[in-house]
Parts: sequence; C-alpha cells; structure tokens
Amino acid sequence: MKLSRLRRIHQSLGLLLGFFGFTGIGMTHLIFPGLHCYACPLSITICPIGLMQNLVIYGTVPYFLVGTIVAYGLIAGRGFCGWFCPFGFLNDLLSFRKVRIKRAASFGKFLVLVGTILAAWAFADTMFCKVCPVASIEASIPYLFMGVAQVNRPFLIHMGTLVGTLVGMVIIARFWCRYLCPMGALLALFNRVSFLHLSLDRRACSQCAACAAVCPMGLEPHTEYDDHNCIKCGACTEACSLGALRLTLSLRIAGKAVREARAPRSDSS
Amino acid sequence: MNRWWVVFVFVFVPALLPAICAHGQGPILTYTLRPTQVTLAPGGTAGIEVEIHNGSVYPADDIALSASVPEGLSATPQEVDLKELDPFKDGRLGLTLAAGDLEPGTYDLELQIVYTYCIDVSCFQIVDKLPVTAVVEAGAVSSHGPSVAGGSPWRWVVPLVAVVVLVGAIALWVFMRLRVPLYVVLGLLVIGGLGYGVRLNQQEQAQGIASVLCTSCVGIEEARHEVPALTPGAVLALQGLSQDIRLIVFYAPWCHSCPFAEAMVEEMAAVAPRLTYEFVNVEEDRALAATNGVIRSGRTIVPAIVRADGGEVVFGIEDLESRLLMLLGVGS
Repeated sequence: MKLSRLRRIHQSLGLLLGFFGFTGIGMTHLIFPGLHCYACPLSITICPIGLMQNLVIYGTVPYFLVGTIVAYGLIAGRGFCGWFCPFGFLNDLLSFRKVRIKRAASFGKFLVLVGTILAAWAFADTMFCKVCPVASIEASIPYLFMGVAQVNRPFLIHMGTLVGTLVGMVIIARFWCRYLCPMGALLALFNRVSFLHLSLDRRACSQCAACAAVCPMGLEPHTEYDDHNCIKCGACTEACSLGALRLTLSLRIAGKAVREARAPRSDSS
Repeated sequence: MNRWWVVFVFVFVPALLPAICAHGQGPILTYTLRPTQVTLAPGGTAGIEVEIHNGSVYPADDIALSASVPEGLSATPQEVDLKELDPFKDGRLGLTLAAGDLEPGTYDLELQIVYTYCIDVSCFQIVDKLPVTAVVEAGAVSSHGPSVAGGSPWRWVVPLVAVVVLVGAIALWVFMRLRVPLYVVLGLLVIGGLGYGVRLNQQEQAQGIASVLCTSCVGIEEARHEVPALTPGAVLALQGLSQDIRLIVFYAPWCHSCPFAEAMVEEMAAVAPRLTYEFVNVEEDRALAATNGVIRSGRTIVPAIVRADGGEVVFGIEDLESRLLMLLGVGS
C-alpha cells in the first residue's frame, strides 16, 4: 500500500478517535496525541494543551501528562502531526502552496507554547483556549447550534482566529503546524529521538531536491531530514526515485539508519 | 550480654525510631491555606480550603475543621471525609464562610483543626490553630475558592531532579554522541510519570477537567466579575412572582463564570420572597446534573440554572437577567 494512502487511513482513524463520542461513550482518561478540543461535544479524549493549562492553574505537578507526552514523543515525535492529528488533517486538505519554510518564524510555535503556559499562570485561566482555532471549530460552532453559545464577542474572536488560520493554511501549506501549534512544539522536542524517523542515505542521494518540492512543511528533506519541523508524513520518501529517504520505525541507538545518515557522501561515481 | 545488645539494636531501636522521629520533627500536620485572605460581599459566601500534609510516620485520624468567627459571620465545614491521613500523604478540608448583615471591614478568624494522633497504643488529641483574615466589602463577588490546589513547594523536588538528570542526558547526547542515557532517562520519565501520576489519580483529575465545560474557559462567553445589579423592571417582575419556585444553580469551583450566576440568583432571591435556590457542585453531584439536563453529549456545562420543578436549562451568564426572568415565567 502506498504510504500516502496509509497515512490517510491513519488520519481518518485519528479523526474517528477524536469524535468517537457519537457512539455515546463519555470522556475517557486518554490524552489525545494532537491538538483536539476536549470541549467538543463528540470528544472522548483530553486535549493535552487544555489539560496543561489547567494543571498550571491548579499548581499540580503534571506527572501523568508528562509521562504521556514523553511516550508520544518517543514513539513518533511530530509524526502524530502528520499521521494522526485531525487539525493537521484539515491543514493537509488546504495545503495547496508548499512554500519554503521561514526558519525564524517556525520557532513561533515554541513562543506560543511558552506564552500559553505563562498566560495560564498569570491569569489563572485557559487563555489559549479562548483563541484556539480548534476550539472554534469543535466547541464554539457546535455549542452555538446546541443553544449553549451565542454570537458574542468571544465567539467573534474565535471566528476571527479560525478564519485567519484557515486563510493562512491556504496561503502556506501546514501554516498552523509550521508556525503556531503549541502541541507541535511539544512533540517537536522529541523529533530527533523518536522511534519513527526519516533516514537519509547520502550515498544514494543525488541532491535533486525532488523531496523539497513535495514537503508540506517547506523543508528540504535531503538536508533537513532530522529537523524539528518534520512531521514525518513520508511525502518525500515517495517523491525520491532513488530511495535515499526512508521512513523508519526503530530505536536510534547508533543504528543502521543513523550510520547511513551520517556517512560522508561518496563522490566516486 | 551480646544477645541483649542485638535485641536492643535490631528490635528496640527500629521500634522506637519512628516515635523518636515523630516526636522530634516538629509539627505533625502542616497546612497550606487557600486563600489566606477571604474576600466576600455582605450576605455572600466564600470557600476556604486547607491542604494538610502529614509529615510524620504515623497516620492522623478523625481530622475535623472548624472556625471561631465573629458575630455576623458563619462557618460551615464542607462535607469532606478525612477519617485518616496516612504518613507523608496530603489531604484537603474546606469550609464555607457566609457573611450575614456585616458592615464592610476586615475580620480576624481562627481555624481549628482537631485530630487524633496515635503512636502504637498511645493516642493524643491535637488542636492546631490557623489565623485567617476575612474582608467584607460591598461590590465583591463571592467565590467558592479553588477545589484542587497545589501543595508544599517540596512537591517540585522530584520533577526538578528529573529535569537535572534529563539535562545531563541531553548533554551526553549533544557533546559525546551518547544516546543510550537519554533513552533510559526518557523511558524512566514515561514509566515514572505515568506510574506515579496514576498513583496520584491524576488520570481521574484529567478526565474530570475534560468532562466539565465552563462556558468562559473555552471562550463561549466572557467571565464577569462585578456584582450583578438588577434592573428596576426585573425587581418589579420578581416582586410579582406568584408561585413558590426553587432554582438549582450548578457550578464548578474553578469556573470563572459561576460566581456571577450565583450572585445573580442571590440578588433575585433577595427581592423575590417566593424564590429559593441551592448551589450544587457538579463535581460532587453529577447524578443530579444528569437528571436536570445539565450534561449534554457527555459534557457537564457550567454555570447552569434550572427550576427544581423542571423546564429549560439556562446555560452561561450571557444576558442572564432576562433569561432567568423567562425561566421564572415573569419575563416579557
């Protein structure tokens, strides 16, 4: 099966897990490995960013949250952004213009993450949730139809951030994931140690940059295969006719993929 | 002779050591008050929470909280069962302060914590006292105080050690290309974090947070912190209320919109003699919330106000006065 098709199946599973509440199952103890609003009427999983803010407000040492996030990070790092997150899926559907990533701006998501924590601490409130575009889609709009929400200032703020994000997604592929997502920032911390990773065989790579043309994150995988922005979607591996790039699931303790990746390029041809 | 020394060293000392330690370590229970100063409006209520840490090697039993308060204030212990607090564990007790027709000002209260402490067969009743300041001021919105609170700063020692070890492992990876220590530390973080988190029941806390929707928390509406003022038309309508109605106000202690909803109902009841009300914490009585339609699609939505005899649910605080008047059947 083609990797892109397999990824769509996984993304659909992520979507299903996100909205499994239609079956009548209530909220579970599972922390979602992506950005997904727990206020959504159909959600059965917990938003890690929403939970993190609440724990900051309560002053709770977040053992359970940290254990879960590190586990997710170790398994796939930002692979969850590319393979599982429903909002990432929406980003994919609107990813028409695969422009080159703005390196400095990509650190914006870390600022959003730190700002989210600081705002929760300073205001004792879940400030990020009030502007989160995921909450706009999954909470504000559904609760408007359920008669709980009304068209008021907070609702309009939500719609504003949602429209801004959607426009951003259309102009720049994976705009939210690249520059703003705090969950992406959390998972990005583990991108270089995660079991799911991209490996590059420099001896096979011809530097043709076919991979760069298809990368939704605007990376050049033949040089940035281990970047914190890589969502491990595998689009580059399909585009590489030489098989130099591979998506691998292995422990990276000086394994084969790493040796290959770090081997100097042979010029003898 | 040697045999007695062995008995002394290996039996008596270990048996006496906990008692010696317990006796010499200072206070048995330590307390963290939240908040240390309570602000409430005349006629309003406010919650105080006491986090209790047992720093001794024996359990503390039958821990009760009470308060000596000046005339005009009343203190009602919240129904929290703290029959036994095991060594080195934390527990919580709370009480609700209610201000009657008190003049605005600052009042000094004294909380009393009474508990029984037994070392083997010897038991003592111990009374600890904590000073609290209550500020009664017109215009303050009473709150129920935090339901879940932090604790002593010492709880951050283990995470700090973990961070230091993690930084060391990252340094080994970056400077010496050693990945194994980093994987070991990350693996320990997963096992330790999940294991200890589950032991502390943090998964239940997480589920509880996710399953209660506070309307202002996700930006469905704005939280309001002022005392609600009824319009003259509303006062007239409420005074003409022709039947006895009981309102149930569902709240969560951490909800930012709830104090306004509670204060609005209190204001209305003050001018409508036939209107009564009760406040229900949805975290404590989810069944009542379910039977009253406050739970929608598995989410408990707060604040929510319902008539005890049935009818629609009023969620949130947006345009609350007119929606409540409609609920009471006196709105236009």
